[in-house]
Order: sequence, then C-alpha cells, then structure tokens
Amino acid sequence: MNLRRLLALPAIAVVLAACGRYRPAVFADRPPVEVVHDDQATPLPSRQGFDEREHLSDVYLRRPLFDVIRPLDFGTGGDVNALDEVPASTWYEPLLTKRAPSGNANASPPTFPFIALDESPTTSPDALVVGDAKGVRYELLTDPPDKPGLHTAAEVLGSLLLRSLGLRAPRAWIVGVPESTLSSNGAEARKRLEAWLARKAALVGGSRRVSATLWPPGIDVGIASDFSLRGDDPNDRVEHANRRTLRAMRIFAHWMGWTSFGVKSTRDVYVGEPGKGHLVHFMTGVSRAFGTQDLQDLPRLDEQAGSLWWHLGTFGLAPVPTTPAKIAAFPSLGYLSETLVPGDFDVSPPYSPFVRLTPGDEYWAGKRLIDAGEDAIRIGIEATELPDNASAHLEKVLNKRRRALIAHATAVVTPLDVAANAGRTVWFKDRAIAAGVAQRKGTYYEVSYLDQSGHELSPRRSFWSAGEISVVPLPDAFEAGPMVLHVRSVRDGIPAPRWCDVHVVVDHTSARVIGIRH
Amino acid sequence: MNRRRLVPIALRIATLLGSGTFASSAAADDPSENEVGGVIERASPPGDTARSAVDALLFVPRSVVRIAVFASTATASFFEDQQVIPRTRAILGTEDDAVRITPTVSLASGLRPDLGARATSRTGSFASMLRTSIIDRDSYVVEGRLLQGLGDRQRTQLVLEGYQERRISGWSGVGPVPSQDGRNAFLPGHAGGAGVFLQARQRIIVAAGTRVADDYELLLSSSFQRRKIEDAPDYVDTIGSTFVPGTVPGAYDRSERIYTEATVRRDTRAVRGPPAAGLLLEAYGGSSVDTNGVYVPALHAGGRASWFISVVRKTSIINPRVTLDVVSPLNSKGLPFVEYASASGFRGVSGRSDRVAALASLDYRWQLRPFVAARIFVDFTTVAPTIPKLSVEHLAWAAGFGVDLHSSQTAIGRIAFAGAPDNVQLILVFGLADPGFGDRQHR
Repeated sequence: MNLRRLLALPAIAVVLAACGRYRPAVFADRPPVEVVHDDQATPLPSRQGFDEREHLSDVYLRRPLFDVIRPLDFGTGGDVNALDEVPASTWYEPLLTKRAPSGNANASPPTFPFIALDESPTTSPDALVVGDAKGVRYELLTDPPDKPGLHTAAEVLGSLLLRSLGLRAPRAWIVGVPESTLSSNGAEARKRLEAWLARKAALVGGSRRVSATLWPPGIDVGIASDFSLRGDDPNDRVEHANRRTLRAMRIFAHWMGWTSFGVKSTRDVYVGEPGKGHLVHFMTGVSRAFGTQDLQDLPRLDEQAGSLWWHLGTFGLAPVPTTPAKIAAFPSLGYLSETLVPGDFDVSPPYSPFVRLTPGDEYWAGKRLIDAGEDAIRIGIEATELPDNASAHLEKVLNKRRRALIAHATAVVTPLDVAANAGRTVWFKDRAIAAGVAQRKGTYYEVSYLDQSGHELSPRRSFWSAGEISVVPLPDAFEAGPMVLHVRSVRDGIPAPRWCDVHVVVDHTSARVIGIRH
Repeated sequence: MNRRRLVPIALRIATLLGSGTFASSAAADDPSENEVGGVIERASPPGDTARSAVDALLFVPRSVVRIAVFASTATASFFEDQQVIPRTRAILGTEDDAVRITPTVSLASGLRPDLGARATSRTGSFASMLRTSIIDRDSYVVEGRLLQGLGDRQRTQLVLEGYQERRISGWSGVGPVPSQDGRNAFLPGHAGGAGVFLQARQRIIVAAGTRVADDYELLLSSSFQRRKIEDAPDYVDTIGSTFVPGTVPGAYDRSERIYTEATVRRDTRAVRGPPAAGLLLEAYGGSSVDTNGVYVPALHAGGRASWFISVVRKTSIINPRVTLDVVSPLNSKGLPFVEYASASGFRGVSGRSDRVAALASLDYRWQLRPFVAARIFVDFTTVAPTIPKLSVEHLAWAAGFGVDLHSSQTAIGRIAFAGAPDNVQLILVFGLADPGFGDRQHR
C-alpha cells in the first residue's frame, strides 16, 4: 500500500462518519418481557473460586486491551426489556420496591442461645459464624467500643436499602448478645469464638451490640464474576458486565458511600434441593458502606492520589498530597459527606459493569432511587437502632445524596417514560419534573417523527411541558404503521444530551408503544 | 538459527493460564438484547458505519489478542513462586476446592507458538498441577507438581515435581566473547555462531521450605535430571556443524545428574507485590554429581543482594542489586555444557555462560495506581572462567521500561521493553515468576 492510499484511509473514515444518518432500533411488535424465567431447575453448581492475581490480570490487562480494540460503544444491557426497564429475575426483584422493605417473610431474627461454628464468614472477615437455637446460620458482627453502630448499623441499613432498590441482600438485625448465650462446637470453633470475644466491642446494656446477618439463604456457591457468564449455570445467559442491575450499582454504591464495593461483594446462592433449585444473586459486605472505611482521625499522606498518567509522568517523585482528616458527625457513623459530585465515583480494582455504565443505565438507577423514596431510608434507619441525633443526620445525608444523584441521572438523558397512550396520542411522564429536580417552566420537548430507517415522516415539532405529564399527538398525515417518536427535552434553552426514542405502532385510532430507549 | 539475526526486534509474549471464562462479546452483540429487549435491529447513530468498518478491520488483531491473552494469568504463579515460601493466602488464593483447567499460550515472533493446557486444584493446604504444552513434533513439555503446606499459617511447604520436555535451544560457547575464547573449538567459518540442539530431559525435584521467621526462609531441594542432547533436526547451524566434534561435553550424550541445594534468604520488605523498601539477601550452596561417573561433579554457590530504597514516596523505590553464580568442577573431567552458569535475571538477550556469571542492575520502580507499578531499569552482565577474571570489559547490557502488575503479596506479571545495542525486546509475561532471582533447580 503506497503512502497516498494510506493517507486516504482516514479521509474515507471521516467521510463515512459524516455521511451517516441516525437509524433508530427496530423492535419486535410483542409485549415487553416482564419476567425472565432464569429460575429453572439446574444441577448444583460448583463453588466458584476466586484468585486475586487472576482477577487483577483480568481487570487491568485483558478487559482494557479488549475494550481498546473495539471502537463501538458499550450497548444497552442484556437484561433490559423493550420498555428500557429490567424485568424481574434472580438478579432483580422489582416487586420489592412496591412494599415496605421487609424482605423475606420467612426470615426472622436469631434466637438464643448461639453456638459458634468453625466456618469462615462471608459478610465480613471480622464476623463470627454461629447457629441459633433453631439451627439457622447467622454471621455476627460487632462495632468498635467507642463507635457503637458503625458497622452493625451499616449492615442492617445497607441490606434494607439494597432490597428497596430491587436488589437482593441478606436480612440482618440488630441484636444484643450477652456473652452467656455463646458457646462453641469443637476446638476449632472455640478458637474462633475466643478470638471474637477477645476483640473489644461496643456494649449496650452489658451485651454486645451485634448485627446478625442471615447467611446464606441457601447454598453459597461463591463469588459472581463481574464480567463473564457462570459456566455451570444454564440460567445465566447475560454477560455480567452487560447486566444493568450490576452497572447501576455504581450509582447505588456512590449513594451509599460503598467505596470498597467489588467483585467480592456479589455472591451466588443456590436455593432449593440440589438438582431442583437454582441460583439467586446477592450483594454482601455492606457493613463496609456508608463511609465506615473512610474514617481517618488525622490528615494523612495519600500516596495514591492522582491519576495513573500523573504518576507515570512524574515518575512517582511528585510530593505526596495530604488528605484532610475525615471525621464523622457522630461516633456511630462513618464518614459520609452530604454533598457529592455525580459521576465522580469509582472503585479499585475496577468493577467491569461500572466501566460499562451508560446514560440509560444511570437513568434507570435514578428511577430506582426515586421509587425507593424517602420512606425506605427512614424505615432502614429505624431498624439500625442508632441514637436519634445520628439517625436524623444520616437520614438527611442520604436524602441529599439521593437527590443529587437523581438530578444527575435525569439530566444525562431525556427523562421521559410513557405514562399512557390514548387514541393517537402518547402521554409522557417527565421523571425529572415528577421528582422535583426540574421545573415545568422553561421545559419543552422537540419531537421528530421517524420511520424505522430514520427518515422524517412529519416535520419536527416542539411542545411546551405541561408538567409531570405531557401529551404528544401523532401527526394526522401519518395513517398507520410503525413510527419512532424521537424526543429531546430542552430546559431553559439547554437541550438534553441524549434523545429518547419511543417506538409505537400506529393505526387509524390508536398508538401502541412497543419499545423505548433512552 | 541465529535469533538475533533473524529477529532484530523480538516480540516475546508469554501468557499463562486463564479462567477460561473470558468473553469477547460486547453488549451490542448480546443475543439477549433481542430475547429480553425485543430489539430486532440495534440503533445506528451517525458515524456508526465508519466505526463498524473499523470494528470489522480490528477483527484480526482482536482475535490475536483473544487467543494470546485468553489464556493469561496467574494460577501458575501458585507454583512458579515457590522459591519464596508462600505467605499462605497470597499464594494459595482465597477459596478452597478450586479446580481449574486452563489453556496456556506462549508466543514469540520468529519462534513457534507454544500451546497447551494446565489443570490446577487445591483442597485446604494441598495443591496439585498438571501442565502440558506442545510446540511442534520435536518440542513439548509435560509437568506435574504436588504441594503440601504444613503447620500453622502453612509456614512450611513440601513440593514434589516431575517434568519432561523436548526442546530446541542454542549454544554459543563459553566466555564473555565466545569467538575469542580458546576453550571453544569452532569449526572454520563458524566462530561466534550458535549451535542449535535438541534436548530431551526428565527431572524430578523434591523440595522443602520453611519460613523460620517473618523475614527468613530456608529451602532444601534435590533433583534428579536426565538429559539427552543431539543436533536439532531440520537446522543447518547445529552443534555438530558449528563446533569441532568432541569438544562440547555433554553433546550427543545422555547424562544423569543429581543436584542438591540449600538456600537461605532474608527479605525485609513488608510486601512483595507493590514497591516497598527493604533488603533482600540470598545465599545458596549446592553440589551436583553425575550418577554414571562420566562427567565431573561440581560445587555450586552464589548469592544475591538487593536493596530497596524509598525516595520521596514510600512507593517510589530505587533498587540496586548484584548477583553472582559460580559452578566449580571438582576434577578435570568435562562439565556438560548445559550445566554452566548464566545470569538468569538478565533482561536482554545475552546467551552467555561460563563457570562464573555476574549480574548488576539498577531498577527504579514506582506506583502508578493500586496493583500497577512502572519500572525503568538497566542490567549489566558478564561471565568469566573464575571470579578474579570477572571484568567490565565485554559487558552485555540492556535497559528498558516496563509496567508491573501485582497483587498485595506477589508479582503477577509485567510488560517491558528492553533495549540492547543489537536488539530490542518486548516482553509480556503473566503468571510467571520473576526470573530475577534465578532458580537453579528449574534451569
């Protein structure tokens, strides 16, 4: 290939890029999937091992290398239905959002006495595994003596909030455990019990303040990959990095200050008799959320501050910056700031679904935060049995953080959902206005009417917002067939960065929605 | 085969192991987008045509990466790291009962690809591994290892290994400048060349190591090795066509040798994966005996000193180090040429060996982000018949830049460019132990 031809290649690429026309997706004309039946009976999978070196090689070498040589954007999650929602599955339980986050009705707090078991804990390395009087397995976690509630409240509150978002998390309760209620089963279990008792812990009324986490609610078969399918689960058909529920955890983890979230925070549990059961997928280790890992009494040199490129360019010789002390407002709480910068959150090592978070995923996460409501926070905090002043502060902080994340999530897309369709009109619900993070005044919608190839069927029109619900009529000139409403919100003259596509099938008297993408 | 001549820029990719679950598909290709999402045809934004075209063009490099890197990572280091007595969880991983069957790939431009598979398993403190790889009809490796941890925190390790291979290698004679060394008898017109040979060998190693204190390790090991060396088929520049017949001890012969070694090591670094300050000292002594009495018995001794000094930051480390390896035959019988010492930590292409091999290097390593560190380095090496004859004349050197990947306790891999006066290497290694501290038993 001579030089002239070589130089022509970028020019051709530019021309191709410039000539392209937007073509909307094409949806099948069928009802949206409401439930994914990934709970078919499967053989009991093997326990999934975890090797830190293998994982680090994966996240720092293989996955970035592969992403670099793939120029296409990360697409819509594989667990997203035609209406841009996530149907119920073993990963996501949307019904939970419609009732108080009480979780599994069969679960109950442990009953005394407890027998320590010679088993490694899952929810926290500091926990003690016990069986209660009914033989049910729980993991007990304590607090530092001067910070009653620090970890235990996080464990209880976190699991309740996760379930209010539709995710699965083990049930946990605050329990006062007198030392006299504890015994052990065997020499090894005794060693574990003695080590646990030797650790100084916060007391309430002479008893240890403990979070008792019911785990596992089945057979724990190990960590869920943050990238690939599980090879021995036929129900597992969506690459985990492409699951919206896991991508959205970036927003939820930001909200909850869960900076230590990672692949070890997701575990698979087999429920049912071996051969007749199936896997369900849980989030664990939430006692490390709510800034409990971020407390620091004094300013500290932060060797890791700065980007990779900064460290590369400075040869590691730049002065070490100092991070200020991070002190909680109350001893029972972690360091969780009232303010946050949406999007400024990541975990180390990288969590692959976070890397693939799209604006559509963030919007979906924002809707889950909206739906969970302030009630979920209040109910969750009540269950932590924290002092009133700490509870009030934590509730205020979580509500402020939630609102900031909702505002951002509804600003990265055109935040419209279809509330209804009547006759040849489509009724849009503006989620930002409904959530109170945007104003009706100054908001209008630009609507293009496209066919499935992206050609305009009718001139573009604009409609002022009528508030939470706005009605958009379809053009009279278009008689019947599929149509795409290509909609963008404009607030105070600033257009949304992304359009929303609403796919409808139109006839002479009605319009039926068959697909939405944000 | 003259590698330096044939491959002026050597590309060496050695990747080992992977979970076997690496998936290449991106979301847009996910079949469930249609199944759950109801999408028959995905949206196509402006410019998508060009990007799709580029994506199609990248199919070939993507496939290469998929094959080469598919197999990466690190369960191998479980076994490769054992010269350092493991700090239990760092080496054994975090979960019990893990059984893995993983492909292995080793690619090097100008050389034949090495493809294989490895099965590893662990139950409690016991681990086992079986590995095989095939390069071509003349070259293959089969290896099995059993490892048992003992005691509280498994501070003691017992290892039993079996190894068999047929492999093609090169020999260019002894001395820092083989063509000027009178001990090498080159055939006319071949001075300075390398003779290619085919080595078939079987080896059994028994080893026991213990961490006697946090910073001190002791290792005792003994191996029995049988070698058979002959000219490599299908090569023109063989030992027979490069050296005067009968002047290369060990060639065209079968030798059986027992090598026993004791090693003591002190490593004061708090962690071994990330850059950390400390001191590393190692000394070893051993002896090797030809069981058939044909070749000379020899004493082996050596040591390494490496000082890790932090500058400005705790994780910015200057690391000078020196190593010395000595092989001392005990009588005048010939020493098989494959038993000579060479500087195994040299990061260039040296190929030098003799009774004494020395290496001096200076590294500067600094943290880029958690688990990732960068490194610049320069190595100098030479060989000599005796320690007094070590000289800075005819030094081989290599300098380069690399990026390391590490866990909290062990190195995982590295990507490095190493340049020398007559060659440049790109090295990509994952799952292999750092060769910088040598390994006499696994030579």
